[in-house]
Amino acid sequence: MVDFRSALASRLKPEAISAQGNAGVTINETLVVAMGQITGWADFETAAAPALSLLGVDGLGNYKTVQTGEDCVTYRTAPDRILIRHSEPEVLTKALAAVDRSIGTALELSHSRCCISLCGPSVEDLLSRVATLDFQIDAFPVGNFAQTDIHHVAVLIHRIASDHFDLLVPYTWAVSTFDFLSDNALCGGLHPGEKTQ
Amino acid sequence: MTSHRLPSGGRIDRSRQLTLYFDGRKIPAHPGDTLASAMLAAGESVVARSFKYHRPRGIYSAGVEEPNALVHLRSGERHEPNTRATMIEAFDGLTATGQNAWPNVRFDLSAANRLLAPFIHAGFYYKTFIGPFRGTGFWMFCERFIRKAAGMGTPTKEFDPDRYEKVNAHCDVLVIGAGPAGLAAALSAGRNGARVMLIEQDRELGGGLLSNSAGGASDPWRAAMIAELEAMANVRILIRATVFGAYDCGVFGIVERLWDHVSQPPELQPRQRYWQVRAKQTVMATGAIERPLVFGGNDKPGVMLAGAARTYLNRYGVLPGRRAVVATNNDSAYRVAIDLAEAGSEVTLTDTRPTPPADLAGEAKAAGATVLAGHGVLSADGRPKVKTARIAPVDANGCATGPARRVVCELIAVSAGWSPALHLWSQRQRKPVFEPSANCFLPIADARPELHIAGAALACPEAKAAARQGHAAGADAAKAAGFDKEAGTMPEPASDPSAAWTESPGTTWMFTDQSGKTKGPAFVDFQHDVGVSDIDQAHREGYTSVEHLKRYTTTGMATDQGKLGNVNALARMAELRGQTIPEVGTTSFRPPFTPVAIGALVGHTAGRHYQPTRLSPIHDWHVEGGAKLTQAGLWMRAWYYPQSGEDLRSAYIREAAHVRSAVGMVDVSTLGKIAVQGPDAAEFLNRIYVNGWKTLAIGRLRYGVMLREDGIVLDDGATARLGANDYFMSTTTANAAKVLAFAEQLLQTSWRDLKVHVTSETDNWAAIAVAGPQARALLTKVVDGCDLSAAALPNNHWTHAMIAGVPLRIHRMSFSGELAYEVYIPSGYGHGIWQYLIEAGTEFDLAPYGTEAMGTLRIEKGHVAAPELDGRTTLGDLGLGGMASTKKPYIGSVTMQREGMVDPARPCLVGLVSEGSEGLKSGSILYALEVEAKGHGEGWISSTTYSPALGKNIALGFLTNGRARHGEAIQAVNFLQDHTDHVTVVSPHFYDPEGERQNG
Repeated sequence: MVDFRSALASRLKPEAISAQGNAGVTINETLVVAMGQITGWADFETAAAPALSLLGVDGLGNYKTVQTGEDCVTYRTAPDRILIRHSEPEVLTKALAAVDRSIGTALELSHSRCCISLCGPSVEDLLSRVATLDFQIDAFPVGNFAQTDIHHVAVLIHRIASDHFDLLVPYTWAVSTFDFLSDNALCGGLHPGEKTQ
Repeated sequence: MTSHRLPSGGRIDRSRQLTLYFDGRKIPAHPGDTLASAMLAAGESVVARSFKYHRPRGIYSAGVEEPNALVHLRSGERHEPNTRATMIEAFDGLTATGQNAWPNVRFDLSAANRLLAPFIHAGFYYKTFIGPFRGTGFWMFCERFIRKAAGMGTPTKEFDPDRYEKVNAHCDVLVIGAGPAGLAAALSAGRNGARVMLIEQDRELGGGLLSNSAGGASDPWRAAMIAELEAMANVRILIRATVFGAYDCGVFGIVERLWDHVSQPPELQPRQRYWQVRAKQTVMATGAIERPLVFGGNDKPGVMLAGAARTYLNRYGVLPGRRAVVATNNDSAYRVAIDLAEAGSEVTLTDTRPTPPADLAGEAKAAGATVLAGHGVLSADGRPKVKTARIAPVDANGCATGPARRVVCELIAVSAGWSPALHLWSQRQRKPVFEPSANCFLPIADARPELHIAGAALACPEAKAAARQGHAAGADAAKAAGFDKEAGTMPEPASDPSAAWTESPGTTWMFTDQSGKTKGPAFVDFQHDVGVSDIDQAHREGYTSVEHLKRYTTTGMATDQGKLGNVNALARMAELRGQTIPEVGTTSFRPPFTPVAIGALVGHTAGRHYQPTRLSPIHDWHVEGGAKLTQAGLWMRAWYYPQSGEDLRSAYIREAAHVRSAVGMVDVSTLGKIAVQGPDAAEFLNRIYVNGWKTLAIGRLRYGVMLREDGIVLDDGATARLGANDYFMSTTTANAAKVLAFAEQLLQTSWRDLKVHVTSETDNWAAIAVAGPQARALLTKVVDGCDLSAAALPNNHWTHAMIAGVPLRIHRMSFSGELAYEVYIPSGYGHGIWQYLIEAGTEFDLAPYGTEAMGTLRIEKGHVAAPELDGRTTLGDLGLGGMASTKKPYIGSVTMQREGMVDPARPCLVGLVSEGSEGLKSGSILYALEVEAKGHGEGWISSTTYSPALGKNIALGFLTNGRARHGEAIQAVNFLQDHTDHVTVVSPHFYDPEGERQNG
């Protein structure tokens, strides 16, 4: 089988993916193992219920806070859509198959996104340079997510920890977004060794 | 040159010496100086030339309102024109030069312009640039010289080497200005727990308090406030930051000059930062700007705002004049006179009011000043700088009532009152109101619930009251933002020694002789050389509305933005109209409050980040494979793969020919890919496409065309049925986002009854088109789990397959006209599968081809693409009318029948074959052979190429009655290059019109 190739293969080398020195921000990639989407209409909750049950997720959730299950995070991206990120492709495939196609839809999207992880003490400062949202911890607590844009590219931003955000970026925009983020992080202390171009 | 630096005093660091340069001359300075204070200390009197008349100008103010001292700063790539010397912090090696003068500001040959003054008055350009001959030729000739003479500083054309950045910030309370009111507002809001941003344009906090003597009574209070604010985690303080714009929804634009105070920024650090702040509540503590007095020669070097003179004295330790005249109509200038006198200056104070406040007058006299009540300055005399002032008794209108006397002086410090700095408030689309008791325009305090105003911006008389007002405003703002704690008591500053300017101010603002005329040119707007006579002329010519006045005379425009020029111009117009200032009204202020570097607004979206770039999952292979890239929208695509020095033409001809003879492979990952899902998906497709979709079986795909609501073709592409309720739609690269948005809009508005969802899958799939006679053989070799024979997978069918262990889909369809397949691969494996095919294809002579060859192949085949789907063409124009179903409605089905849309004379798609050896040019206009090439012609060329299959230059185009004109010779005129080709009209299907090759 041919190798999977990250969208950021030209930017990140394995040996460089770590915080170095007192970098304000470490920019990294977290592999998206499996991702899918469930949509529906009036009976969306019913349509999604069997899948969510298999994933161990309690309900559809709201538009700001992620729902978590075993090895799984779901994002309510619209009233009738949820995006699911899972670390076990087979489990996700089963869950998507459980959707009743007369009242809902399921779509496998594992290769559609690249996950750029931003960690470090200056991560809020970096994000405030590239997106208009309020990233201070009180306004954007751990577990929250938001759909916004970074330099015109639609991204989903998920706060993993006080100093850690994951950005789900469309695969074909990943390099451009990565470059934009890293250039903006330089003044705040991105270690040059983490940039490999 | 005499030094005006006092031996002690000021807030400068005298322990360190800096050297600045102005026009090549060394200027000694200390940290804490500005360029203006250093030049003043060094006795540099003429620092600039005026805009129009090139009159010598000196330093007039000590802040952002400076109209005169605009200089070129730095040199080379960091050269910056029109910088205000009053705002440039001194740093060692600072280099500034005079501008708008030749050879220099001291001796400027352009000063001869003053002889032309009668001819270049206000609005002269409206009247001058006509005649003397018919047409505009003469003035177009003159334009080059006029342009050279116009303007002020000269920008560099070199690339700006500095970084800039944009930052977004959110706060509960934004406090603008860090004078007594601003400091107090930030403190009370901060104590309440609100997230506070305190913005100050100066390098230090304190506002007007910094103009008090160092070590004076206000300093301990200022220090205590700053210490407490800096200790608060919820308070962010920005210095060297100017709020330049106020916008809807609590959005403010701020430019922070991070490293303008050094020769160049540290590595990787931005020179300036553009903040976009979203504030729930705002306290505007923006202070006030002193107003000039108008009299003959009031623009000469040596005339200065009174408050500025005090600032230079107390903050920078510079005595601006050893003999000074202080001219005022209000109390505030008394403190200036007292401080100057106490510093050793010989001071004469004139007050237009017949009975000035006894206590202040007494204090001034006690300090050694001469106080002349009911007097004014008729003129400033001397060349190039002030040497004497002519002082005379004046009446309430400023008209001399007795003989004038000359007073020898180097400084005339003037104050006609103060104007609250309400620019930001006004930018929120409100007009201020004139308050006669304070003789100034004031904001309406409660005009907007999210805006609070405090301090001098509300004409608050002095520091203690301003601090109280600020404290209350900060608490109110915090409360409105949801923070309602007890802010505690706040220490109060000592009463500001600056006397209040709102206590019984006089209204006299201009001095004339007994005939009512000023003694010499008297200016209301120094920056634009707008004099009283210009206002008078505007009035005579009917430009009496303040809006007309502003535009006709340019008063208050550009960087001044009404800071100095406005009120006096309004006052003059009020006099001329026989009205009061409120009756005349005022104009609106607009952003920016102070000039903002374009670089700061651009921020980090420059250079390679001018726009985002989209890369195919296979992009890295193209780069490593030596492909030349081209932009397609925001995508970077492989254009062609040159071999051994090939140019574009050689490469694409070779690549296209190779596809026809063997097999080629092109990256088509950029195609739009949309999942259409739901029980009503077929009905949705039926409505959005012109052709029918209800009968499409699983495993098949179909070409479709969709129209806009006006009947014009929107896009085309193939859609595959993957399952009972699942379809995979492909669109053109150019229209992918447009189609998705259109579909989403229809589903969320017009077709809410349909159970359908559309989702972009463009990023989920890489796509490779494999085309050519050997395409099947190649793919058959590499696939597992499927039969690609013509019987098993005819054209317009798809199948699941496996290549190199990767599950994927193969769609049999052709854009090239050859036997062809599109391979859809999960994006993460796109690069690997491409490489795998390249290696496996060696025995089939597989070669990659780029977008140029792809275009050649589709033109030969007569397939339309973006150049033909240009937003003007109908189905009929494209020759696709037969696809339109007559059994169902669809988007555009009614509007496409409109009279103009079905006009048989509409230009329709044709093929064109050139008789010449040169290639045709897209955009060429088509004319019949025998007619003059003039006007819009009978059509146009949309796509061109050299066809290796035909061995000719060919094109697609649109021609009136084109289908009936096959075989006709016509002319194609390329007006841009003044070139005409003779072409023959043919069918657009140049190659394999029966489709035998693609269906084979």
